[in-house]
Order: sequence, then structure tokens, then C-alpha cells
Amino acid sequence: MAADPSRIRNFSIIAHIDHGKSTLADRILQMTSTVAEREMKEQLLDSMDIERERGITIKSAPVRVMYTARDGLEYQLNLIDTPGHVDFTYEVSRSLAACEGALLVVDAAQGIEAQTLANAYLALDNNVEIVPIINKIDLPAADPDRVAKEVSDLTGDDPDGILRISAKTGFGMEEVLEAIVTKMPAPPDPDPEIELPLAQRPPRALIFDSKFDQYRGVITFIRMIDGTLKKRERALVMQAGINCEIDEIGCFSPEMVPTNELGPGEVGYIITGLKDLADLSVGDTVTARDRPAAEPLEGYEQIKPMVFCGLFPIEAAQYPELRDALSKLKLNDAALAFEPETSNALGFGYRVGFLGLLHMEIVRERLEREYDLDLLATPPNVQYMIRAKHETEYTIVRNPVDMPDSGAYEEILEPIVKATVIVPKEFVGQVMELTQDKRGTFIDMQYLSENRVQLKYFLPLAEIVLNFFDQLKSRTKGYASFDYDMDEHQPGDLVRLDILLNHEKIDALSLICHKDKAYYQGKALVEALRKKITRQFFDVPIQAAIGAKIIARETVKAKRKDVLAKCYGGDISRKRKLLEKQKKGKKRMKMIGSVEIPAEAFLSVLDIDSADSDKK
Amino acid sequence: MITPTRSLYVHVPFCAHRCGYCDFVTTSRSPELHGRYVAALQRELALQGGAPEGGFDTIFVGGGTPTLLEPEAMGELLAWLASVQAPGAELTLECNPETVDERLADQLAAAGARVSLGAQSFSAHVLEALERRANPETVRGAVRQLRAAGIERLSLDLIWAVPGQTDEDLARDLEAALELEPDHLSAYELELKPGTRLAHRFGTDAATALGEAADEHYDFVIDRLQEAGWWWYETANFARDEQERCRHNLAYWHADTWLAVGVGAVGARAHADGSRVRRANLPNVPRWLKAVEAGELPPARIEEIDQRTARLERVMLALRLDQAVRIEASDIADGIVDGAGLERVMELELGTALPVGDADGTLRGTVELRLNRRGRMLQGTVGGLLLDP
Ligand SMILES: Nc1nc2c(ncn2[C@@H]2O[C@H](COP(=O)(O)OP(=O)(O)OP(=O)(O)O)[C@@H](O)[C@H]2O)c(=O)[nH]1
Ligand SMILES: C[S@@+](CC[C@H](N)C(=O)[O-])C[C@H]1O[C@@H](n2cnc3c(N)ncnc32)[C@H](O)[C@@H]1O
Ligand code: SF4
Ligand SMILES: [Mg+2]
Repeated sequence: MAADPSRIRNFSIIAHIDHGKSTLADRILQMTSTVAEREMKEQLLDSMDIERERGITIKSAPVRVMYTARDGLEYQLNLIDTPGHVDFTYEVSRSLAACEGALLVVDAAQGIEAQTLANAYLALDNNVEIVPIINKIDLPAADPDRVAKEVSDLTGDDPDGILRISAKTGFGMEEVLEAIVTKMPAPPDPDPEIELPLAQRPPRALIFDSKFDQYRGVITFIRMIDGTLKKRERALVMQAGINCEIDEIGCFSPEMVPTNELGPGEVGYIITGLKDLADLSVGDTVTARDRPAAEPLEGYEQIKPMVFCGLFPIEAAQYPELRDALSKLKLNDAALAFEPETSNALGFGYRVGFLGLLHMEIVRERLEREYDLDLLATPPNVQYMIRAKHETEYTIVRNPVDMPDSGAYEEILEPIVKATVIVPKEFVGQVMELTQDKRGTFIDMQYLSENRVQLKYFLPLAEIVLNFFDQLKSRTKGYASFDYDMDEHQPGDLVRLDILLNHEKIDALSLICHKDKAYYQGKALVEALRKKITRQFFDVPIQAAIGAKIIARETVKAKRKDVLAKCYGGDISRKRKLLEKQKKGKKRMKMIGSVEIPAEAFLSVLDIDSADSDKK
Repeated sequence: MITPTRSLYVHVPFCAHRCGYCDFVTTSRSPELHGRYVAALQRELALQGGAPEGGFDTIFVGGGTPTLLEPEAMGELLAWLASVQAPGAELTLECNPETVDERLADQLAAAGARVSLGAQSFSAHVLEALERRANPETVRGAVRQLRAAGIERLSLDLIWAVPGQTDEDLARDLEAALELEPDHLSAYELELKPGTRLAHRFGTDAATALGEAADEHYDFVIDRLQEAGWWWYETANFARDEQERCRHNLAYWHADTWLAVGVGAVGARAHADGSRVRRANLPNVPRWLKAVEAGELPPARIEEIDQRTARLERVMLALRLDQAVRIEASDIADGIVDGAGLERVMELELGTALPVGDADGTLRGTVELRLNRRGRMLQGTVGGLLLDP
């Protein structure tokens, strides 16, 4: 039997990165005995290897817990732990669309940060009830009173009424569970006019996420809005117009537990026989064949990627596997976009769109690890709009290679973002300096509290996708937080910088940059490449050029010696291991013409800006 | 089944201080341990099965600083080694210049020892950079004294590519070494070993301090010594003539087997099927002493080298020597040596391979590969092309 909707609470846990969402979820899992004590571990819902290694959440993770409240009744709580990093905001917004409430976690020492604001606004947009929580009050640097004031300014809650807890020690957690039950609404009736009880109406389930499982195929995460879906039932994916059968239906505990049905308000999953990955896209609505809903649910706004790079298999033969892997990964990463690309230097690959650099890094790593691929990524860039001479229309350029030589176009527009930076007031000067360096335009400045300032800027997206955040952090001793929203495109004085290796232009290394910075970038890039490119049997000149003009040059000197001098009896194993390591390194090399280039060298551009900031 | 082995390595870990570049197993433990240590060496050899019938053909006493041993302990060591060596055996001791005095020189000469003297450099500032105790005069004096006592086979160790060592410094080092008329020279590029003070100073990302800037140093060393008539018989080793090559070290490069005793010592034995087992005693003096004195084999890391890996190591090591490397048809058939890589080595003009026996004139059968000078200098690359670990 499905639960009575009035005893269900669906909520997301949202916060700035590292403010303790996953730790708070741990405590909820423990207090509700969802996970056996011996199976408990820190940030249990961060189940991916990459998440555990990096200590951050990348994927939203749903879980159902049963909680007996102080009113003596048992409630079904469906919580979704979300990521805090700005690149994964799309995870948060999809999770919120499956919920009626949000726990907004704020670190008692750090206070409100940029993603606290961004996620709080997302929650408001989604009309969910925000319950703010001040976490980490056990920290010596905690200042809950100040933070309560900041939170109150944001949410309108009475500062004294805001819960103060430590997710680490568990202090105050009971109040959190009570607040979820008492302050957050139960799943509402989407159509109160209709007399038929909710559970008996034509079912509508929102697909809010999915993943591909090697053994079980596509697993579709759903939130029931109304009606009931049952095991073995014939179903219809409404917007795709595809029929399927529900082979299995169930909930997350947090592992998948099969049930007989899911009723209104419940969160869970279905497994269907559908094999075509495109048939079950996030945002679509699942209904029953024999009692179909009239209209699909609203779904999600498709997110637009902001950063693009080419992904190429190092072994050309892996191209079909890369395509397959991208489609499967897209199931679990709705923000991923890709289209085929051909490069003179690298052959067949994909131009892949991401929400940011961390997203790019994670996608590449997941493709390599989960699908056993060896990939080469080209320098990331943003999307430009270019109008040729005597034309009125703009063409979209996502690949520097497609940018005409200067002189051949009339105008080029680049994407601009509206950025928010929050810092202690003593760092305002540094932020101003950095943003100026990055071609920013100041919008305004506001005090969040006596000591903390919120600054707003327009900034070219291209300037922030690379290392802006790292530089911001290093200039503000780690205190700054940063968030941004896309604004419009604006004209820029931009040029294409080409790289020549051994006198041949390598298309996959071209990049677009501001004219005033081209000289510096060219110099820094050839320098970075020289360091990354291993020595060959002949000298390899590396040049940077704008059009036909060479603006910088370095040479990778031919290697003449490659042997470790000393080898006595105790050295033999070490020598052999060195050979093994060298062989492994070979696998990450790409032959371009007669030059062997380590895959990592293609991302040398990422090293440039940090060199820039070191200089200061 | 273990085949008998004819070489013995003996490690003596004592040093007066630790030089800035050194990561060998050393300890500055005080002299009262010397006697115990030498006694324990003998027990360990017994625990490992003792000397082969007829004695060892080669013995190498390395360190640490073997010549730091108190005269009595040194006498005990040499007497014991005399008892386990075959007639005409090669007995080498590593020796630090500042430890040489008349008494030691006489002891070594009486034992018929070959001496490998750690000169490293003849430039005061290079020795200082290496944090050596000896100055150039100490080194020269030691050579004279050893020769005067009657040491017949004398080798000098040199180190090049030291930060701050100029081309002129290196030239001077070579001249100074040649002037002393040794019989053998080892010229090592300075390696930055993790954990050493030098590595700390110059960064541990790189294996060597000067990187590509050292190419010229190497060229220079080879040029100069060859010009003086020396044989560049191994990557870092030069001999006045064939007889003067270090027979013990050749056993390593020929992938032979050897026993090893002493703290941190590494030995290798062969099974009948060609697979190997390498035994590395742990580098802990008290634990080593305690075990051996209790009549137990000391704690060690045991590495099993399967047959395939052993065959691969044979080729890898042979590439270091100035002689044709025999690559068996089966090495290629079994994928130990990559046939395409072999062709690439020739294409890049790093060496020549000639078919042996009644092969059809192609490189598909057994071949002998001889690297040229460029190939020998780029031996790491050659190994990478040829071998499939
Ligand atoms: N002292 C203290 N540390 C806490 C508390 N809650 C979480 N932490 C620590 O803060 C760090 C981040 O915690 P997470 O739970 O991973 O934070 P998160 O918000 O899930 O992080 P992302 O998912 O990456 O955005 C971890 O080292 C936690 O142990 C708390 O109440 N007190
Ligand atoms: C086992 S060591 C010690 C010998 C003796 N104690 C001495 O210092 O002369 C033998 C030789 O290895 C060489 N060696 C030691 N560490 C080295 C390093 N990090 N790089 C290059 N050669 C090194 C030195 O030339 C040294 O003489
Ligand atoms: S180089 Fe020789 S003397 Fe110096 S610490 Fe190493 S073993 Fe001892
Ligand atoms: Mg988390």
C-alpha cells in the first residue's frame, strides 16, 4: 500500500559547498535506523568513487526514511542530498522540482556564501518551503548569532527561531526532523477541483533523474505527482510517446528496494524494458497505459552548457565506445550535451558542453573510469556569436577552429555573466583588482553584515571559466565565495590564437582570447606546452600565431640522454618499475604528425592563468 | 630448486655522516657495534645456506662506508671473506677517502682487495654541494696511500651533473681522476633520491638535478674517457681494459644470481625454471641484528620475479653493456620484446640488429642487437620501445 500523502514530506538538502549537507543526511539516516550502524560511514550518500575521493557531492542522491514524530505518527521522508558546487546547480534545481521543502544548511563559521544565496533563490523559484539550519556550531570559530542574522535577512525567519545544530555531533538533530514534519507541507493535491481521490487518478510521475546500470539497464528516478504506478503495469512515457512495461518499481533505502507500487507524493524508481537511452529523458512524465493522464507535467527547462571542449579517444578505435559512453552518462548527467566533431590533428571525437570546468573534469574522469576509455580533452572555451562581413545573421561558434581569421568578420559577441562575490570587507580591494584584470564591470556592492560584503559584476564568461575561482580564493585567503548567472552576449575585441608544433598548425590547440591579452597568453601557452611536451628525437619548435604573425616561440630540445646512471643489484626492480611507468605513460600519448604529445599537454592553457596570478 | 650462486654482496651500513644526496642504507651507529655486526654477517650467510663449494668468485663489500669499520672488525671481516672466496676471486671494498690510513691500506692490500674509492669530485665546491667530508687533497692522498700499500686494482667513483658544477669543473674532475691512474672509473649522473636533502633542495619531481642540461656533461664524460683510451663498458662504468671491468657488477648486468648479507642488502636467486626470487633485507639495523643473532633469517621483502619478468630484466640490463644483446626468437614470440619496437630502434638509428644462426635474413628469428652511442645514451627510450613489461 502506498503511503497517505499527508504523512509524506519531500525535501532537498541544499547549501553552499561543504556546509554539511551530506553529513546532515548521514545523521538522518542514522536516527531513523535506515542504515545499520555497522554499515554507516561518513557522507554515506556520496557513493561514487569520485565523490569520496574528492569529498564533495556531485550527484543528487534520493533516499526514503521512516520517522516517527513527536505526534506519535510515522512519516515517510524522501530526502534528496544535493551538490553544493556551482557547476552542479542543475542537480539542485531538478531535485527541488521533486520536493515541497528544502533544508537550507548554513555553516555557522562561514555564514551565508554565494551558493547559499543561489540555492535559496532556486528554492524560492520552485516554491518550496525553506527551513534554514545553522550547522557546525561545534566549531570554535562558529558565530551562530551573526549567521542567524544573515540568514534571517535572506529568508525572513526570526533569528532566534532558526535551528542551530552540529551535523557532526548530532546535536539538535531531533529538532531538525521535527521541523521537517511540522514546517514543510505534505505533497499537495495538484488539482483540488477533481473529486476522485488522488491515489485513484490517472498517474503522473515526473522523471527527475536516471542512471545506467550495466546489469539492469536504465534506472529511472521518479516523483509521483498524482495517481499510482504499479509493478508489471504497462506505462507510457508521455512526451516521448513510448510504451513500456514497468518491470520493477521501488524506493531508495538508499539502495534500491522493490515495492509493489508508488502512490501520490512518493519518490522512487522504475526499471522498464526500454533500451534506447533517449526514450526516458529527464523532465518527461510517466503515466499508465490503461488510465493515461490528459497532460504531461511541466518538466524542466533544458539547461544550456556554457563551456565546451573537444573530447577525443586517444586510441581512434575507441570512438564508437566514446559515443556509447556519452549517451549512457547523459542519463545520469542531464546537463551534458555533445555533438560530433572532427579535428585535423585528433580525428573523430565530440564537442562536449559542460556547466563549468569542474563539471568538465568530472565528466572526463567518469567517462574514463566508468567506461574504461582513455581520453584527450582540448582547451575549454565558451560559445561565441559571429557575424560575417555584409551579413545580418550571427552564427554560433563553439569551437575556436570555426572562428574566421580576423578581418573576415564584422562582429563577434561573447557571453557575459552576472557574478556575485561575497567576501570579508578587507578583501574588497583584491576582488576589484582581479575583476578588473578579468575585464569586469562593477555593478554594485552591498553589506550582508557589518563585516561581509556582496559585490556584483558583469564579467565575460571566458574570463571566469578557467581559473578565476582559484585566483579569487588565493587572493582572499580562501574567504571569497562566488556564483554567477548567464547574462547576454556582448561585442568583444577577440582574436583566434593558433599553435604550431613543428611548424604545423594544431587545430585542437587553438583558442579565442582578448586581443590585449593575446600576446601574453601566446607566450605563456607555448611556455606551458614546452614544459609538458616530452622531448623527442629531434627539436620541436612550438609557436603561437595570430593569423600569419608568429607572436611567441619555444623549442623542445631533442633528447640525447635518457638513462639513469647507477644500477647495482638493489636497483633492478626499481629500474623495471620505471620502465612499466614509462609504458603506462605511453598510453596517454598522442602522435600528431611525427610528434608525440602527452594528452595532458592539450590542457596547458589551464596552467596559464595560475602562472599569471603567481606573478602578482 | 635453487641453482648455486657464485657472487656475494656484503652491506656495511656505517657512515660518519650522511651525504646530502645519499639514500643508501646507512647508520651512524657507534663503533661498539662493528664487531657484532661482522659476526652477524657471517651468521646470516650461514642462515642463507653458506658459501658455495669452492667459494665465491666475486665478493663486493658496499655501504655505507665499509672502511669505517674499526681495525679489529675490519680484520675479522677480511679474514672471514678470505675463507669463503674461491682462488683468484675478485674482492672489492668500497672505501671513503677520509677513512684511509696506512693501517687500513695495508689490511686491504694484504687481503688482495680491489678498492672502489668514493672520490666524487676534485672541486672543493662540488664536494661541498654534495656534503662530502673529504676535500680534493684527501682524495689524492688516499689514492697514493692505497697504491703505496700495494693495492693493484683501484676504481674511482665520480658524480656529474651536480648543481653548481660547471663544464670546467667537470673537465677538471676528469683530468684529476685520469692523472691518478686508476684502473676503473664509475661516473654517475647525480640522482635526486626522494627523502635526501639534495632532493629537498632541488625538487623531487625530477630524477636528476640538471635534467636536459646534463646531456652535455654525459657527452663530455664519454668523449674524454674514450679519448684517453678507456672502455665505456657499461652506462656509467669505464675500464682501462677488459680485465679491469668489475666482475661482481657484471654479474648484476648479466642478470646472474648473487647472495647478499647485511642490513638492507638485496640478493637474487634463481629457480630451475628461470624465475627468480629477490630478497631485500629490511633497512633496520637493530631488527636485523636481533633476528640474525637469534639464529633467524632477518626480516626481508621478498619479490618473486616470474620467468617472463626475469627474461625481460635480462634484456633490460644487457642494454647497459657495450656488447651485443641477444634477443631470442622466443622473446619476440612471447611478446617480451616487441618486434615493431626493434624495427623502430633501427629506424631511429639507435643501433643495429643482426640475425643469428640459420635465420632467413629477417629479424623474426633470434637477433643480436648492438646499440650505438646514441642508443646507449638513450637507453631508457630504447628499453621503452623494445620491452613490454
Ligand atoms: N565541525 C563540524 N564539521 C562538520 C559538520 N558538518 C559537516 N562537517 C564537515 O564539513 C565537511 C563537509 O561536509 P559535507 O557533509 O561533505 O558537506 P556538503 O555540504 O555535503 O559538501 P558538498 O556536497 O561537496 O557541497 C566534512 O569534513 C564534514 O565532516 C559539523 O556539524 N561540525
Ligand atoms: C654505495 S655508494 C657509497 C660508497 C661510499 N660510502 C662513498 O660515499 O664513497 C657508491 C657510490 O654511489 C654513488 N652515488 C651514491 N648516491 C648517488 C646519487 N644520489 N646519485 C648518483 N650517484 C650516487 C657515489 O658515487 C658513491 O660513491
Ligand atoms: S655517500 Fe657514502 S659516505 Fe656518504 S652517506 Fe652515502 S654511503 Fe655514506
Ligand atoms: Mg555533499
